[in-house]
Amino acid sequence: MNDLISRAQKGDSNALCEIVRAHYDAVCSFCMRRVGRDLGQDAAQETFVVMQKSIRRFRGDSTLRAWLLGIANNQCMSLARKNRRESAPLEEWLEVKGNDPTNSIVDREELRKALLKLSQEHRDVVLMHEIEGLKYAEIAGVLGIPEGTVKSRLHHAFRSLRQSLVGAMS
Amino acid sequence: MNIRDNLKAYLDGELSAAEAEQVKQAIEADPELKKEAEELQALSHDIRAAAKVIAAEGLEKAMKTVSSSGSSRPIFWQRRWVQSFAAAAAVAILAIVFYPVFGQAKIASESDIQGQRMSISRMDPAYEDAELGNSMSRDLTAAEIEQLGGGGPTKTRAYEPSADAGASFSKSPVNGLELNSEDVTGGFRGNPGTLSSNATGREIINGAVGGSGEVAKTEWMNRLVVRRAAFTVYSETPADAAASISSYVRGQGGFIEDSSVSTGEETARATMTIRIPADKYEMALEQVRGLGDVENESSSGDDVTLEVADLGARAKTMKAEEDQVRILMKSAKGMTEIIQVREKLNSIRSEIEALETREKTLKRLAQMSSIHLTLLKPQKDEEPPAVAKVEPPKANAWIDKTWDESFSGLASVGKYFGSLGIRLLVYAPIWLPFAAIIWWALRRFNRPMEA
Repeated sequence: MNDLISRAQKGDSNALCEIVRAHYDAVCSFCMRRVGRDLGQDAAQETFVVMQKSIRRFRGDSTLRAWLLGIANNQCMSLARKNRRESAPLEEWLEVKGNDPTNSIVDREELRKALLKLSQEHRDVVLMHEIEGLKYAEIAGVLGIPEGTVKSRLHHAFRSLRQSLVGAMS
Repeated sequence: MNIRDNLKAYLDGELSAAEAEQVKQAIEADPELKKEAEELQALSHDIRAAAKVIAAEGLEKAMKTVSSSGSSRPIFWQRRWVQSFAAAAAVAILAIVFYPVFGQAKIASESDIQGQRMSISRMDPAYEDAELGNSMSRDLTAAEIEQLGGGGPTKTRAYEPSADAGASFSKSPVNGLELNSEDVTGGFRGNPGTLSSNATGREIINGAVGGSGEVAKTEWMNRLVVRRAAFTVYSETPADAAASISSYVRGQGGFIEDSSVSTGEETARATMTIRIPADKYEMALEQVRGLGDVENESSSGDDVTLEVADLGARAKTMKAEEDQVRILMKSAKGMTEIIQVREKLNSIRSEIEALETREKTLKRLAQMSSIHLTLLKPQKDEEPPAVAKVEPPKANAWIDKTWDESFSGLASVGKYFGSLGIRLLVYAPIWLPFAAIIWWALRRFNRPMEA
């Protein structure tokens, strides 16, 4: 991977294409979840255009994926601002229907309601960690906040979720 | 920290080994905590299970965009040559803006050093002789004149008094040779006045003109200066000294204009006025100085070049008028008219002769410089006037010199940074917005879309 990045930094278009191929799904789904299907694809395209221009400055302080998602996050915010759009509805993230009672302790509708009660900041962290599968350090890189803040937000978010779902869980 | 605060991080595997072990033990020991951990895990599982699977679209388009753009060419302001050019331009602008400050500080430093030297020289003639060059106290050779006139900046500066150094000071009884302002025509920068040196007008001029020495020398040769000097010299045998100098002067093509010699035991003295060709003037001065102990020495000169030129021009005009009057005379009719024209002609003729006589006199005076010499016998019960001892430069004078120069240099550096700071402060309304914009742009574009 390091070799791939260094080749891309030297302007090797094949290496750039390989990076796009390897990370496009993650970036595109991340963008779609944040700004919706229509704008998400544009945001993903823009993300890789910016990646191509600024790959020389990637120093390897974080993973390439976290770096790309950081660019994607900014592109999404930029597009949302231009289109005067709020963040994507939770339905873009969660399957509300099709609950599996054998494997779930809470009803998805209840879960959706509990997630909606969270602040945007807490919800973003929860969704990035649980659905995108990002580690604390990666979330910190994407959002530009300290890792300790990520840890704290997750702790408080899950405490709130537990409190909201205490009846359903029991 | 509360164990519960770390519970979620423990379940996510984000704790260090020590912290994780601590939480693990707490869970095993506390059933309530264990239950909470299980609920958190189940909740996390439920959220992941509910995650919508999104099919990414547009991979081909993205690939095409990236491959069609080719290599990741840096944007304009990130290109190395642009940055190099910008850096060079910034340095050039800084140099243009701040070079005058540096120049002023340098001039101030040089002025300080020069001022110090001149101040010291007032107190200690030997210092000046040592600093300004002993060649000042003798006739310069042709090569030296050429060198001085050729514009060596160090030499030139050595002849220039600084603005605050004062201009007029003379040294009596020994080395002082007073030069009037007329002596220093021809480009002497600084206040014309008397200089504490044996330097002659010619030496000063040739030294002062810097880069145009050859021109100045030629101009000097064409100038007419009536030069005079006066000496009072103590000699054991004034009569013999008078005879000696008379012989020398005649040998050089000069003559003794007047002289008187007294041979009394106590009152032996001789006075004389020497006329010497101008080109032998300097050598004659040296000869006079060698007659004994010089008590007093002064020199002056009047530049009569302009006056001679003016006289010549006026004479020429008058001659032209004379010719006109002569023509009128030929055509005069009647005795009365002839008499009137003749009177006019006589008037013009006498005026022309007066002008020509004065012109010739001035030229002759300029050709023959005069030296008024008084030779005295020193009184036995009195010591001859103390001759200021010219102490040789100290062996460790270089230390003092280096110290002075270093201290002065430090002061000038301080002045430089002081003025730099003031300029930056004063011009802040101009450069600060640009600096802020550049700073913002660098921050904005260095990490264009990164978090």
